[in-house]
Amino acid sequence: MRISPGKLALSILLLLITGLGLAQKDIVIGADTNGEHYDPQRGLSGSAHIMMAMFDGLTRLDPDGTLRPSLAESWELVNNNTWRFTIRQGVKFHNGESLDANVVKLNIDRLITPHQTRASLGSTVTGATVVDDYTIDITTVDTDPLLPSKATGFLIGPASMEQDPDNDSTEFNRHPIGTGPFKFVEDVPGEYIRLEANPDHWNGAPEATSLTFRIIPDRSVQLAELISGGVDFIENVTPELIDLVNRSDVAHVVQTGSAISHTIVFRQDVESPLQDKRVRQAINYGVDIDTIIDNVLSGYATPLATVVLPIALGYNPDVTRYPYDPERARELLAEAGYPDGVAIEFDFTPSIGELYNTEVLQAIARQLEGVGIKLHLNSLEYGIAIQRVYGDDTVNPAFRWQWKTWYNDPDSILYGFFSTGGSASYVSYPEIDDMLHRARYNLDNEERAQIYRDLQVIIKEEAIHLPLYNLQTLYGVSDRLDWQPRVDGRLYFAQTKFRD
Amino acid sequence: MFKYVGRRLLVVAPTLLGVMLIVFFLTYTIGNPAVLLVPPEATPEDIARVEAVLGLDQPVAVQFLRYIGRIARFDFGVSFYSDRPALNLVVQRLPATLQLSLVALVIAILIGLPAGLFGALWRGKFADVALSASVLFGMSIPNFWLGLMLIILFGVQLRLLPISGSGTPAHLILPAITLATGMLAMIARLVRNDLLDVLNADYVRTARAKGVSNTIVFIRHALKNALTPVITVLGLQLGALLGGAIVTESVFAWPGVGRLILQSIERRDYPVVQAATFILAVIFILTNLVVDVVCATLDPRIVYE
Repeated sequence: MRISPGKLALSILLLLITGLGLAQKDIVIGADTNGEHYDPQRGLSGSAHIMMAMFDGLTRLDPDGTLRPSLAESWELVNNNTWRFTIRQGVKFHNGESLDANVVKLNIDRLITPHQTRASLGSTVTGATVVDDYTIDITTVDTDPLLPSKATGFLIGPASMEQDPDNDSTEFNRHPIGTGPFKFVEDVPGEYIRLEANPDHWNGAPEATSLTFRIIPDRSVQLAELISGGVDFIENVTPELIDLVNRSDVAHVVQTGSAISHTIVFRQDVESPLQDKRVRQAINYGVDIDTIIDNVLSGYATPLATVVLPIALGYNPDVTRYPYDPERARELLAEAGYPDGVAIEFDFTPSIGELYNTEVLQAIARQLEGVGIKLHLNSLEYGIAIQRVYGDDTVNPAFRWQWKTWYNDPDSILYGFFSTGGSASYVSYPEIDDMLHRARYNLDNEERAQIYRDLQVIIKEEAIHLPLYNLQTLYGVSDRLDWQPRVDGRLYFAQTKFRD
Repeated sequence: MFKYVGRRLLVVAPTLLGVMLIVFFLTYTIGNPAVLLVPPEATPEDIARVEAVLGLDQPVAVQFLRYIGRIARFDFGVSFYSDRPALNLVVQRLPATLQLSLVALVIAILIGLPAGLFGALWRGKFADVALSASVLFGMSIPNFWLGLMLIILFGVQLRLLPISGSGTPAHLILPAITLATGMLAMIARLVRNDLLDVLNADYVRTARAKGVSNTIVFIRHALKNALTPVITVLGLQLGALLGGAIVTESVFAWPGVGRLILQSIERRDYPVVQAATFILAVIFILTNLVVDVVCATLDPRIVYE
């Protein structure tokens, strides 16, 4: 075959142009870690952003938390225990395999196999039945109003994923295949993972041609990379560095409220002054959270009255924080029989609580000392803290914790903190258990909301926690990008536009 | 000498076994990885199921015997997190660590040795005082701070060098300098002090009295003898460096072993911790052996026993 010089020159030119275009539309993200596991049923939270790029769930959430169709076009409740999902037709996996109800069933079956690390996501699911090629019924233990929301996490992999009879995902993990807006290219452990755009994505091809998640463990270095153009995106800019980023001429700060509630948990199941409601209330009266937010967090946080966020279903605006009233705090303490003050052992972890956690706690301890409550702050290593709180329940009577609200619904956070046996719960109120149970298995959202509103009144009155705040999340974003933050804190780049 | 090396190598196996025993019980006591693997909503039953999959529900004795059995076959199992073979994960990271350590070591020797030499030669003069002051500075400066300062200067302000990551020789410069600084200062100080000691020794005075030229006295008599302690220290340093310069690797996002180990400990990823400790123990033992042999070659007073 002969190629004319003109054609050759043209193709070189085209190649150059597309080459430049490619280079320009690569988004590089500076991340703390990659999570390293990309199996739709086993991938861990550290790899969530990457999973979201490669896989689609049955449903998805908009940036503001609204539930939308994804691989399922629609869903309906066919009876109290069964949700019917209609699967989108014509969807192909990155390797060309087709999506149908059988593939979805395989993924659901795999999810509820007990040993999958993400199994708790499908804890209410009992099974899946294929109705026809594009219709599937998912059955639940009891009525589960949140199933369509949970289905945002039911990520779907291809049928070929299941070739290993032991369910061992080692092979698949080396080359994950999904239907998502980006395809896997390569993973260099400890360095980066690279994805490229999936031009055939059912929701349209992303404008970015590739995504690279680079691991940069040190946050100061992430920032240095951002302001010198080495990366396009970082999380966790601290308030005092906003100006530095905005003045850099290459990047700007995008700010949004996070969905994480920060709180201090009191154990009522072990012998301590905290078993007395008046002591817990005294602590609530004794902390001036506004001053702490202004001075320690530069104002980048919103105080919370309970752990329920304003974005959550059933948020009760009439429940307000205990006012800062040191006098009342001392009175309550005296009434409880501690006129000379109390000492409380307190556990925290610098890495749980995000921004300036240690400084915030020191400020709280100082304020409480003023009303006669002495907190002994014990710093725990992260793994130890998780073990003591979720594992063997050996945590001290008071501890610092946080929990994320999913799908704008308070079910998980309330169960986690206040139900008998909840994973971060150290209380037992039969009344609360009953209310939580009634809300969890109720299909009427207005009734659920009312239950949650009533619950917040009890939670405050009992002063079960010392609620703190939710922080503003500050992202550093390259000026080339129009990136939209999400309520759930997930980083999603399929909709990201480039400014030209 | 071969007999000596052979005998030393024989001790390697029991030493390693001891190390692995300690590692097993340490990892066993620092907590339960299953809790870290599951989402916060997970129930105790969920945690128990993951424990069963990881084999952590078995009695300690059973777990320990299985562990020893696996190690004897060089099978460290797969990472709890990435499902990849633990040994591969560690071996994959070794070249990056080797590269960084060796370059840093070469820089440290190339600068530290002459600095120490001149310090000894010009003892008490201004140059010596200036060198000693720089050495003190180099030894005292914290790694992470120096790394960040170098990044700000050469990466952000001057834009001469890449800030972090790996891949090109340019990526190696800043982390290597950061890592070399402390070592360089130590070498300079050791060489200077050892040389001063040796230069005052009787045999040097005798050599000078015999009319041997200053240069020959310095190189053949003084330097050779002054180097023995330097090499011992260098060997130990290299052993430690190969364990990964955790701080430097983290600052520069260098994909070395140190970061892998730190992350694995934080996550309780036992197979990786165990594989990494094993490899590092082997490296450390071998480095020590090489150092001993080199020292004995330099100093005939050291005998192989």
